[in-house]
Amino acid sequence: MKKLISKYWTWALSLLLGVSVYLFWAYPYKSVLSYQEQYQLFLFGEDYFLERISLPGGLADYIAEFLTQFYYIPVFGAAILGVVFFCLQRLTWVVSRRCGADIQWFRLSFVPALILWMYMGDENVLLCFAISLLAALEFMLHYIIVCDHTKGYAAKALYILLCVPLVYWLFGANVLTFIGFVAFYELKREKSLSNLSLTSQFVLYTLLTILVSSYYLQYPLFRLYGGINYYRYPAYIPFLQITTMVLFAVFPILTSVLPKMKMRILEITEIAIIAVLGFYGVKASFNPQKYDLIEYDYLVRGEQWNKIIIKAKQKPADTPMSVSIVNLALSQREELADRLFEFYQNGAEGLFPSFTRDMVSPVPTSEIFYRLGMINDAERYAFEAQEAIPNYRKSGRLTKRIIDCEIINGNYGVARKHLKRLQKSMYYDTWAENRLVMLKDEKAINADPVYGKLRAFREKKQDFLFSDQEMDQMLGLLLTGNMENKMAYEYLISYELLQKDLDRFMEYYPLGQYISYNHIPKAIQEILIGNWMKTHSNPSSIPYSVDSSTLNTTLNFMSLYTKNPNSPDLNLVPYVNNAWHYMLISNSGMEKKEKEKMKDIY
Amino acid sequence: MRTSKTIVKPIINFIFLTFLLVSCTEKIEKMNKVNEYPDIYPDYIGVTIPVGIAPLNFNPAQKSIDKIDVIVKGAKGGDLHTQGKWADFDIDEWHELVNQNKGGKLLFTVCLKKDGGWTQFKDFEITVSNYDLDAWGITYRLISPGYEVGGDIGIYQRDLSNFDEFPILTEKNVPGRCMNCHTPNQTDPKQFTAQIRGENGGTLIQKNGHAEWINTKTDLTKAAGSYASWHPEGRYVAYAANSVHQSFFTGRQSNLEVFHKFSDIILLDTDTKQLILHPNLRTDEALEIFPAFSADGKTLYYSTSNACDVPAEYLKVKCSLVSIPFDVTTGTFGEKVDTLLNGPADDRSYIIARPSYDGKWLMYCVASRSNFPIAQKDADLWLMNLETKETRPLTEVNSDQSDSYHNWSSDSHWFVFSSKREDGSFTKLYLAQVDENGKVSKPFLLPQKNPKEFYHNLFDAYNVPNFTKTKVEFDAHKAYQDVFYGERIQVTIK
Repeated sequence: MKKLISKYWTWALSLLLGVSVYLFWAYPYKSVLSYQEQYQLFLFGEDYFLERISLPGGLADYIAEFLTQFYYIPVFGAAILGVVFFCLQRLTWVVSRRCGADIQWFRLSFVPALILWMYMGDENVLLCFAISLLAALEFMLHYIIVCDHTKGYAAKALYILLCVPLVYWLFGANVLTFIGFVAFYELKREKSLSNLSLTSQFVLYTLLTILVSSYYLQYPLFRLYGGINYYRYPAYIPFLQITTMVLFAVFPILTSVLPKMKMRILEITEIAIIAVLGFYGVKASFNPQKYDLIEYDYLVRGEQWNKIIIKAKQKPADTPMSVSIVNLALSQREELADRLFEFYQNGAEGLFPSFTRDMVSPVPTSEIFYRLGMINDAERYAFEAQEAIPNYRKSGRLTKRIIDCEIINGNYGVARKHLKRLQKSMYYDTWAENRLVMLKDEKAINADPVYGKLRAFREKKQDFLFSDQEMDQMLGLLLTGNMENKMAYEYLISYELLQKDLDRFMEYYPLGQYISYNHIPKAIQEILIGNWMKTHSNPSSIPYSVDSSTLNTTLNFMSLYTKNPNSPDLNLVPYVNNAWHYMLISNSGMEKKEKEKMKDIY
Repeated sequence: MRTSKTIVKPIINFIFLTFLLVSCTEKIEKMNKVNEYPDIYPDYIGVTIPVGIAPLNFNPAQKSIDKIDVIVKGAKGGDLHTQGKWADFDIDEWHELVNQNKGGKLLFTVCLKKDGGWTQFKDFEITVSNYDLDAWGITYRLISPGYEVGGDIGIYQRDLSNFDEFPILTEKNVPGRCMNCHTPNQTDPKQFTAQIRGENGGTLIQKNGHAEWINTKTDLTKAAGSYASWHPEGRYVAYAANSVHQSFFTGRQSNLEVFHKFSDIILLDTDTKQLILHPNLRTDEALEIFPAFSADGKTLYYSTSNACDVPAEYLKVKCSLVSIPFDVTTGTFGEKVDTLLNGPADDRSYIIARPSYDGKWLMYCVASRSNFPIAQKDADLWLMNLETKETRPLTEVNSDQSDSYHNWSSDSHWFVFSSKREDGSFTKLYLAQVDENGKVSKPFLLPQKNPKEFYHNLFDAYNVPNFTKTKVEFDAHKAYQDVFYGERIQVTIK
């Protein structure tokens, strides 16, 4: 056994990295995989391949997108990342070893991979970067092999001459990582003037290759030198990307110059470095607030309403996007008017967050509009989110939603066009095939439980312009158009409550009698009780069907509040969950939702 | 990236060439004949084309067709034959045939193979015009047909003699910046203007290869200029200084309304970098928009609508088409504004006047409302005879969807326009001929190598097309530097 361990311990450690990466993304961070998958749409076909391969780094991009589509099923995505990291570490070590690194320093070969893992804490880092690093390592290895098996300069010069444009075009700016390694490798090997001159020419050749490409490509130079498809945002190259590239380039040389020594203290230091980087470094690089939102969106995508509510119970949602998702989840469980004030509320923003020009927040808002039957608005938000993807990729999830809306609106030509694109994808093709069949059968569309219902919910009698300042009027029109739209009623009532507009609440809440409730929702009861008690002294005279628990809690709240509005007891359960706590104590909703600012368009 | 794709694609095609060369053309021995036209995409049956236009390749409209066989015979001689998944004519042979038949007809015999059997359809004709199209190509903006977020916007140019497309300036080169359309002086790209909106915004004036970035916003003008029109002599450019917005319909099938909160017309003297303002072109009670100089430069046409409380009063936006005299020697406008077409009186909106460069015609859009016709489903093209002032709708080219953004060729016998006729969403470009009597031919869709595949896979809309006499020369890398780091020349008021 001991022999086995001493023989395979390096493989075991590499495997441990792969498994750690797998577990990391398969469990706590699986929502990120869904996030990555939903902001790209890999398509099978010649045109798509040509579009990718026509740019530097195109093959890496194509492979990365091909692999990223498997993130649709998180365990596949996590396994892919596990394999990528395993290979990266192994190749780093193989190159280091070929450069002369002692086995003593094996553990350090995890450092570049761990730095990359940390860098990937930025959700906009694309898999393409890791794939191109793998390619760069492979070409480094081959360079060493060429050097080891040939004499003189001709072979390696020829290798560089051919490989630099090839690596650049297929894998992008990580050609600089490759040539950086070559430069350090050569400087270590032979410090003669002629070799220095040759190495300089290699570097110059690489820089010129990239420069020449700029004459054919409409990209700013910094993007050609920094990688077109490594990072989702095109405006800059992150510092950590450059650090990672430098590290992969110099690491094999650095480890090769470290002395051969076997000291326990060194082993402990190595393990400490890896542990710190692997645990604290990775943990610190994944911003919890950002990933919280990503997870909320993931749960919406999977319609996991219970999990959303449990999550909000564990840690209150406090951003417009997360609060709106919690409220959506409550509405899908038909509990919004009951449990609205069990959760943190931030005014009407928590029902309909203001539109922002980004690819994230409009996605769940689109979901809210869709389920309400505001189909045009749902499509707009989905479309805007898709167009806001900074690297101009499309999204399978958002395209599906756009198609849903086009089908409901009867725009079959546009729906068909989008469906034909989805037919070329791996995970959306069956759905697309089914919808294409459905397009030929109007009855099937009307009979579809979702399309049929939303067609019935959709406002049909009149056109009106969307106004985020008059959401209650729009909800009212939806509701009066179809009294089975319970979600519209709950949103309408919640909207007035969150705006603290009790006059309008009193005007609208009676519509609830036409909705299929077996009781008056709790939040409504609380307001009705409080309102009644403002003008009456006897609670038994309340003309509404209220339950005793709600009655007692509300009366106690009123009593406590009357005695001391600052009483700390008011901030405890059950009083903190009472509608009157929000009305009287919370600062949220003090100002009515501001009208969305009109923006210039192109 | 479209440029590099045009480099890579031929290489891939070359690889398949060997295969294609050895594959044989099937000989059609037995066939059924039917007395109806073939169902082809695009519908090129009966169109009129200019000499020099790229091959009018077409596909069988039905997916179930296995093969198409097309024989083209020129009335004045020559013929062409192609067979395959779609009608894909050799570019050189096509040009030779079309040249040979200038002023004549091309007769197309189409056979379609389905389920192993061939069917020959009724022959159809295409007319080769006597009017040359004096243009290297066209320029246009490609943009996702959406809402507020622009996405991957780009200004492109297309060689009309083949299928090559080249970017002029794309958002990839100026990330996050929204660009407005390229406007040449008539069709000459030696002088053109374009705008970058928002942060780092500016107005580009390029003359004979020299680009200048100008800030046209001043204390007296509320916004930078757009919707440009050059004075034919090339010194002045008229712009509409406005703010354009959108509102979105909740309810039935229309999805958005585009409107302007304000709009004035300003004139830029490109020599002195001075703005010339005239009270009639910047009134408080009306919005002046879409300026266009007449062919002789003595008149500026534009649209004007009463200032409404938009978006609430979006239904009340009705534009009239008016004109004001202009004296190029003094750089001054006259005082009298003539109303050519009265929008409120006719309960219509007359927008985007485009006088032909020969001075005979005025083409414009008519819609039931709005000063942004591309978003109006009922927008149609109309033509006015400037001598008789007679007007008529261009029924030959109009569709039941928005038809707009028209522009003339330099000899005014061709025009290009955008139309949403196919699906109501993705605007495509059509070209049509106008003869000396104002008779307009059936328009033809901008040819593509494989039209069905191209258009079905295109998720952008064509926007503001224009002919260009020669290829536009523009240094996009310098534009990046200019946009992000360059100085802006501040205009002054004359």
